[in-house]
Amino acid sequence: MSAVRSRRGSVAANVAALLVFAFFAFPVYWMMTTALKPSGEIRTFDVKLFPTTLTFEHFRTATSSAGFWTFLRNSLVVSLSVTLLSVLVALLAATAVARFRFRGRRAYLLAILVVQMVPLEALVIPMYLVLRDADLLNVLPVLVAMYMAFVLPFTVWTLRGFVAALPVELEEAAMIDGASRWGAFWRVTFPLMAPGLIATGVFAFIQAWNEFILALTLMEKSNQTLPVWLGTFKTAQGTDWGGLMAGSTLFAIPVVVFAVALQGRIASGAAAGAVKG
Amino acid sequence: MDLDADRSPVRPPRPAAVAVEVADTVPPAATAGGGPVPPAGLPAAAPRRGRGRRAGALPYGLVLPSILLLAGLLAYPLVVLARTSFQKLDLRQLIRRETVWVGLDNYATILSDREFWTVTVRTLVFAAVCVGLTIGAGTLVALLMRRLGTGMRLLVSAGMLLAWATPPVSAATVFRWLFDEQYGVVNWAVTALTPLDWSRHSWFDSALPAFTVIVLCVVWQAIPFVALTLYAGLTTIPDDVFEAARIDGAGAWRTFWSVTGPMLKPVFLILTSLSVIWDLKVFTQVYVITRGGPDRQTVLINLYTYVQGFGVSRFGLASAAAVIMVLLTLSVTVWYVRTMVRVGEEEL
Amino acid sequence: MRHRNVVVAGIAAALVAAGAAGCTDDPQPADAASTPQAKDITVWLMNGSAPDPVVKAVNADFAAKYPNTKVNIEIQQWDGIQEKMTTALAGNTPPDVLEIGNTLVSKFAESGGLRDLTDRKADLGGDSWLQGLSDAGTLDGKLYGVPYYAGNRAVLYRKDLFAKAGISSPPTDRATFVAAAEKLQAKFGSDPKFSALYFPGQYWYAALPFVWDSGGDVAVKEGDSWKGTLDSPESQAGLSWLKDVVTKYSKAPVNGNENDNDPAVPLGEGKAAMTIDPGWKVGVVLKNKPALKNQIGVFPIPGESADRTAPVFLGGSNLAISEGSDAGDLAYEWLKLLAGEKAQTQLATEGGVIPNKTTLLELHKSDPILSVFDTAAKNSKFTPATPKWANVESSTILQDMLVSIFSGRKSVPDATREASEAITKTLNG
Repeated sequence: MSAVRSRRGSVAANVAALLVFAFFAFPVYWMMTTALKPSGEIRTFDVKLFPTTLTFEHFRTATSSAGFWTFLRNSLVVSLSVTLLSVLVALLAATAVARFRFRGRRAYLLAILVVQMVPLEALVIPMYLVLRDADLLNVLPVLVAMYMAFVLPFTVWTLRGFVAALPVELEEAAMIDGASRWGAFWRVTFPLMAPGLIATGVFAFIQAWNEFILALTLMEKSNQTLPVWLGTFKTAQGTDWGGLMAGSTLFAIPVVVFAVALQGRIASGAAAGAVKG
Repeated sequence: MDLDADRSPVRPPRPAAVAVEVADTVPPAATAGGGPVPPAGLPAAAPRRGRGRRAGALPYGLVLPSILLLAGLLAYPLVVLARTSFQKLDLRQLIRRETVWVGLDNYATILSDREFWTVTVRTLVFAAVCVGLTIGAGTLVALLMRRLGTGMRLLVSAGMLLAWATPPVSAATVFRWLFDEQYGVVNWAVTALTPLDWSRHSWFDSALPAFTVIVLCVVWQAIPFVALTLYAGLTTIPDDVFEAARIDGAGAWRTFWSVTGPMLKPVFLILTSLSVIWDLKVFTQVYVITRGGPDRQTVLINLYTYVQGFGVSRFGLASAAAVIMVLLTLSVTVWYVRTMVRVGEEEL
Repeated sequence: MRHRNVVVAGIAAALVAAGAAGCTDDPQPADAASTPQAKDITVWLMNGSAPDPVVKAVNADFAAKYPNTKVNIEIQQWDGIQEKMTTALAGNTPPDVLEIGNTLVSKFAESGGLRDLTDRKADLGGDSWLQGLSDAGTLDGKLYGVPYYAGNRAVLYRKDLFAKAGISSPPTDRATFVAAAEKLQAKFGSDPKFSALYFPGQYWYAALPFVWDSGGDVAVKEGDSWKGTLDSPESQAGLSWLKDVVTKYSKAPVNGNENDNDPAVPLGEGKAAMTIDPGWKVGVVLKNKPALKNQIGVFPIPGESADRTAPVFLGGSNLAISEGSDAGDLAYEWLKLLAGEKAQTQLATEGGVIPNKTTLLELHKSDPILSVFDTAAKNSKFTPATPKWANVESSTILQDMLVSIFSGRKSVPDATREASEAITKTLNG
């Protein structure tokens, strides 16, 4: 076993890598090619690995379906809000937990973990009852708040680890050099936190983006989100499989874009960190 | 080089190096419930630097927003959930806004149903299998990634990213098709490439093949998160540690168990406990792929409670079932929780 | 610097979220003291039920009478509709008019979410309603759901395959049905994928006609309670006959249902000669395989003897007014238009569905396919008209029973006995 990371890896490792890639990518490939096949060729005895005819009609159907752009807007608004706000709140809490000793700290950590075990579906009934009585049904910010609460346990735990790893001396060194306390924080500490913030941000985004049951139950038509829209391909006339797959592909794209774009960020964060280190 | 220090499995890496190497990795992926934890545990080994300062009201102010959110939107609904579990809340009561107390009737109904116990055991076994496969395969992939060049590593990450970004409903649908009796690619490929004739082989006629498909679908979307997180953790272990182990004559297996594993213990802890929690809750894949069939043999506990409650509009019963599920999850993960909190405590 | 962008983005997001919420707050209707003419009404229609021209025409007629009232049509999806209706009817602003699938009407009626319309029955022309739809909308003698439209099933078949197998005319009873299947099997059975009759195992809508035709039923009401009767000798006879036919002539997945294993696919590909399907499936087949334009024929599900057809399951929808509606009178007027002759005529001719009045069934006389469906619809039955029926469906009792019968895992007596017990328990529970 070579401990040195060779630049191109061994043949065996590369073959294994290809197999692993194929395992993960094939179902996605199937999803996307189905989205591009004409309806008649989707469920057929004549299995084709490579589609012979391509059509964009399913994507056209999907994007022109009623409410698509509204749902997309709602999903983006909700998910981005959840991401930014929950990372912020979690960062505050993580700083407190990682850097200070205070009474109730252990209880707080424990409570956060326990709360993680509650399945979101279980909260549908009580949330509906509570919101109904408060006449707050169909209010989008409530959805944002719920998702934030749901991702908090995980984001706090993760950021706690990152905050705890930060070297205090670097901040102190910057302050000796004349930077204010906040200046030191922003310019020194914050970039080092980048990977943690991004990781938790991506997690929060995914949770909010994919959530379905609360959006369906607590919101009405104009406030609903994309996962609900995916259900529109099941009609009384059977399921529009092509449309469903096209919709799924469209649904997955923002997530992939979001994560891939952040990948680049992290790499540059590494360069910055290396200089500081 | 101090050989004794190198042999120590708990050698603390330099904190700055932690930040650098973590930054070097792909963001961990999230599954239908997943989330990444870059080395939350590694900083635990960082030398104490006088961080545990007592600072009056500031920490309370910092945790306040999170406490408000959690209390208002998770804890309070939990209380309401518990209250509802003692009520009869069918469609009639819901629409007419009547409150009918039935004490422990809902719990009695569920706990006395023989199917409930079958389903619970089945779910525990299912979760164990899924978690085992996810963590096992995730570890192997992470180790593999460590041995690849940048290009191949990005390829593998990209593949995993695609799998994780797919909405669970769509993933389940695709897997249902891939294993379809009539139109499925898997049967077609097996028939074409092997002497077997699987042109009408049914995967959903009995529980075991059906579960194979379900487990495959769940694990397919769960591995990326585990693999990428572990890989992030692996990159924080400096190469000299491995070099030292190799010089000492340790093989790959031994190195993992004595060196890598213990260093990543906190990461493994949180990954495993999260995986257990999520795999106990699996619903979408079962619903889409088999809907609990054949003959209700693939019903897992979340689907069971859904059918018993929502399916027949008996929300009091559904609430009781949800409470039972939470308590069940709690009892299974209590060991992990305690260990994690203890690990977290050690940092201060 | 990055951090500044983050802060700005955060504030922007919060503002956008607040703004989006503000924009989408439904303006509550004006105070109840205003005249009925000034209110708005919300109508829920299911996706795919009413063609656009029909709805437009109804709205035009309504606007002529009530120019100050705005009509909000919201198209709903079938997926998750029970939950949606539950939360809406239990909420603070339920829709005024709703289209409800006929198997769900009694459940919501019993809950108190729908308005009692018994005294309007005459006004709506209730005497000429299709019996099956009318039964579905009635609970304890009171009318809650006005019949809207219906759909049923018949046997679609490939005329060319029939010709090749030497079958000169479509079957008219069970005996000729089996004979036809035999001929088809003899001619095409060498292809292991060929089904003379393609019947996915869970397809209970298509199985019930045989139970009913043999004189059996799913459940009967005895006094105040229901009793499952799938284990009666008559029901068992129907199911046994079906089991023989399906085991012998169908290669469809035993665990499959008619949605995932759409019979239209093998029919179009020539891997099935007969399927039991609703009328609009013909359009689906022809869309994928336009070359089959004149090759798809239809005949009613055969009864035991040639003098009758098997009673069909009448699917379809009803229209209801929510109890919590604050514009009940206006809602009723709109509903009346959609259920009225003019809209129904348009619905039947343009939508190809079965209208709610028996008097309108002649509209499809000239259409060779739809006229068969209409004739078959005259002999229709419905599942037990009780609120708890929806629970039987969601517990998949019928599907599980059929699968265990067709797979041979349980004998017909055992499977039906277990199913009947489960149905009795669910309907009375």
